[in-house]
Amino acid sequence: MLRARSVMAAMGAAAMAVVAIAVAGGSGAYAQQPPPQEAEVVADVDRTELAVGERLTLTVTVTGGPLNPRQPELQGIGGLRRAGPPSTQFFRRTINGSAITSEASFRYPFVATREGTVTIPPIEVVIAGRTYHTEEIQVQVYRGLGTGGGTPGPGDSPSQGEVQGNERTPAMFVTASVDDERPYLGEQITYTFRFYRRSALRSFGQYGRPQYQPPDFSGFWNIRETDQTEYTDTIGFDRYTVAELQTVLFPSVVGTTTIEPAGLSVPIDFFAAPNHLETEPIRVEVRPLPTNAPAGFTGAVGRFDIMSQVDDSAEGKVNEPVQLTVSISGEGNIETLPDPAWPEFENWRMFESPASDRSGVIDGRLVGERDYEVILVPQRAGELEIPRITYPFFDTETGEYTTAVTDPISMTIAEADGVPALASGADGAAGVERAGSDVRHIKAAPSSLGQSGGGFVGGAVYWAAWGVPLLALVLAVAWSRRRTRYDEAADRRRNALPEARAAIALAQQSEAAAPALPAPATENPVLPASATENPVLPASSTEESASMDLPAHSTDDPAAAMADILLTYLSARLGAPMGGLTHEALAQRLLEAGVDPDLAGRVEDVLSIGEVAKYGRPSSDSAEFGEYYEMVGRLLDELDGAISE
Amino acid sequence: MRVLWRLSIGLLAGGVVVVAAAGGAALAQERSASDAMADANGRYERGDFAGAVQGYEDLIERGYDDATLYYNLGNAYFKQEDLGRAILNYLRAQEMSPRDTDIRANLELARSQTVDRIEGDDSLIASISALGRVVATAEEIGLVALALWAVSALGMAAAVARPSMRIRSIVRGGSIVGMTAALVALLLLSSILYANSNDDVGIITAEEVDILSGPGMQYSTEFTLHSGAQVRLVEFRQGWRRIALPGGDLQGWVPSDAIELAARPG
Repeated sequence: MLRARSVMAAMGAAAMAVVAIAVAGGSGAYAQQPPPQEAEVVADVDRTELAVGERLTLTVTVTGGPLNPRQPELQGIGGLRRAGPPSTQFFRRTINGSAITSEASFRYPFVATREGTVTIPPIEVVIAGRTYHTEEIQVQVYRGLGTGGGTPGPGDSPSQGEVQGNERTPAMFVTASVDDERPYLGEQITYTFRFYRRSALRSFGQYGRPQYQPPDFSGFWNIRETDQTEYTDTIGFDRYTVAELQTVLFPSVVGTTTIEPAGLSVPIDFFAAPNHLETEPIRVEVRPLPTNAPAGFTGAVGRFDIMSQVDDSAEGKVNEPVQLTVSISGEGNIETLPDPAWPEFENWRMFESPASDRSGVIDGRLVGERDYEVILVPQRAGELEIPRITYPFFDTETGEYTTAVTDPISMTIAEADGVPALASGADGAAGVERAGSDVRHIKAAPSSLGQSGGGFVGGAVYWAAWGVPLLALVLAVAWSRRRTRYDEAADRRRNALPEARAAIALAQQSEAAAPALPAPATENPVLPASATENPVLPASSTEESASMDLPAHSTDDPAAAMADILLTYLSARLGAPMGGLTHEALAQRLLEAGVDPDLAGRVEDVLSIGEVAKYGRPSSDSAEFGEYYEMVGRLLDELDGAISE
Repeated sequence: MRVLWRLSIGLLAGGVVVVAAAGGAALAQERSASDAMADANGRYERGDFAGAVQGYEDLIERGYDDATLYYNLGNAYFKQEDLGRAILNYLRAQEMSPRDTDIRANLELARSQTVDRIEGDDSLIASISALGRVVATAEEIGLVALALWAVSALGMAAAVARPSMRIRSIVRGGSIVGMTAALVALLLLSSILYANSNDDVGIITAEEVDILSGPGMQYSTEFTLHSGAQVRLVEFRQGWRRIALPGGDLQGWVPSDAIELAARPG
């Protein structure tokens, strides 16, 4: 049975006022920092003796010049629990607008939680970058001093609330209890907090909801609160509304552990401080587990069952994974449950996966399930067995160790795909079967090991190498074209003389109709001035006519025909069209080709005669045709020998 | 004159000594590497697979890059049941020696023992490059393509340059066939080089790793992979790699220390 005591808000406020007066007067029990130049920091309490459950106000005062101190941050103080947020006050005296002194007070409400001497350690205050410390303060806390007894409630000892009279139970009170005060280490216990308020208390809830301050459950695992439940109960002649909150705990330390008081702040008035209700601390004696733990026990406490199953069927193939699901379910600390000790999976390769948990509180007990999905890869064909999996645990109901066991699972494993079973021999002898699945053996060390480095392929040199054959191909095509042109010119040179002679012979065959041969141009004054002074070779000697076909003569006059034949010959021999050149230009070309000036002059004469015959008087002396043809023939012979290659 | 002569002789002798010393040093280094590998092989034979791994890894650290070295290292990791690193090194060995049946057999065996079944990438380029990798190395394909091109181009050049060649039509026909083959080899090479540069392959080396939706532990798990799973590396950020499975539907982030790039170091 637990009891909690309330602290009157008015009492606290009065105490704070006393403290303020005491601080202002510089009296009372306090600790003082050696006065710095600019500031003075003092810690003070409103009382140095009080009872468990009573309030105490700690005040930190900073006085000095124009300061702006930060609010000190208080660490936890053993034996005292914060009973609300701190309050702050600033005083500043100014003369002519300038602050000459200032004072800041920080007030921290506490509630004593255990009897004995409570030490408030030095408090650190930072002002303008400088750190000040107060001196420590000691407070004596007594059990039961200054508290009133309450009227017992149903099954619990109620804490004192708003006492409405000596004959009746309080208007509101809180209780706390555990379902087992002597649990085993790791065994679940349920901590129940109840808030009783008279159903007739109409003002409840008008000024805000009660604030629950759970105790510090140090020494316990896996604190899990359930949803709040509410019901009504009758105590004596009073009907109460009860709000109940359960917390699931698992002791983690052997020995006596104390669950500190839980608190509840209930607003009762708009102007007054909330009514603070508190439970009594609870002592829990945690027993160690028995020493006769079986092999494989890893610390599971509760009541559990274990089962296993494979994913699809009882068949598989070598090296094809099979998923084995192992489930541990029951009542206990599921989230911190130790893993089972996996057996030796002979002929299987095993891959573990993280476990998944599901848990919840049902009827105040934490129940749930933990699933392991284990991947097993069969290593050989045949009938394989997934062995039993055992899970020893301490059964809290029987107080003895128990072992949960799965059933073994048999599986038929076939050969892997792509690994053909060797056929039996023709005589019925059994084929050779590969028994293992090991890797092929390592290779001997080579006499020289390759060195890392960029390969040839893919680099700039490699792609440049592709251009070399391409360049050779392009050059070959270019050379071939050039050579073709060269060969055509050579053919024309080679055939120039025979074709010229054939042309002369053709002209001789038609000499009967030919006109008389005119006199040589040098002796014939009838040559047109234009022809003698600046003679231009006939246009009929075009490049086309220089293609070593028989020359197409522009006239039937033998002299003109001879001139055309001569020009055609010269075009072929010199490799350039001669038509359109002046006589001087032609002579210059002949001289450049190695022809002596006399021979060049004779060529010029023949061409002049031809021009005269073409543009002037036609030839009429047919008796001289033969001699003229012969003369041109000899001229051609001489030219053929004189023109250098 | 005599001084010049002596100077020349001296320089020549000095050069010979330097070349001989360099050659000797290289030979000694080669022998040392071969001995070190033989030593690692010895550890493997004695069942000291961790020692063998250390020996092989030391050689790779020193810059050696050899198919046999990677193959033996893969075996040592396999014996240590480290499937991820075994597959990783078999892949590296296969890249250098794709027609080696031992490498292929051990790679298939190791892959068959992985937990995750991942379908391969069936894109055209991936298929072509995969085919090429099985047939020959990129180096070999590249050299064959270049040789085919050189021979056929030079043959064609000869046929063009010498019209009077007796076997001109045969040379021309052969050159056209050779050029076509060179073009096919070039396409194969290009697909392999493209795949090498754009499809960085990674192997999960952690026994099991959660693939997260972002590069940080605060992100949710998309899926889980196990040692030996082959993935495509998409992106790298400080301490994290973004990976994708073939097809790209499944992707996520994995800590860098849980995965290794299949490409050979160096």
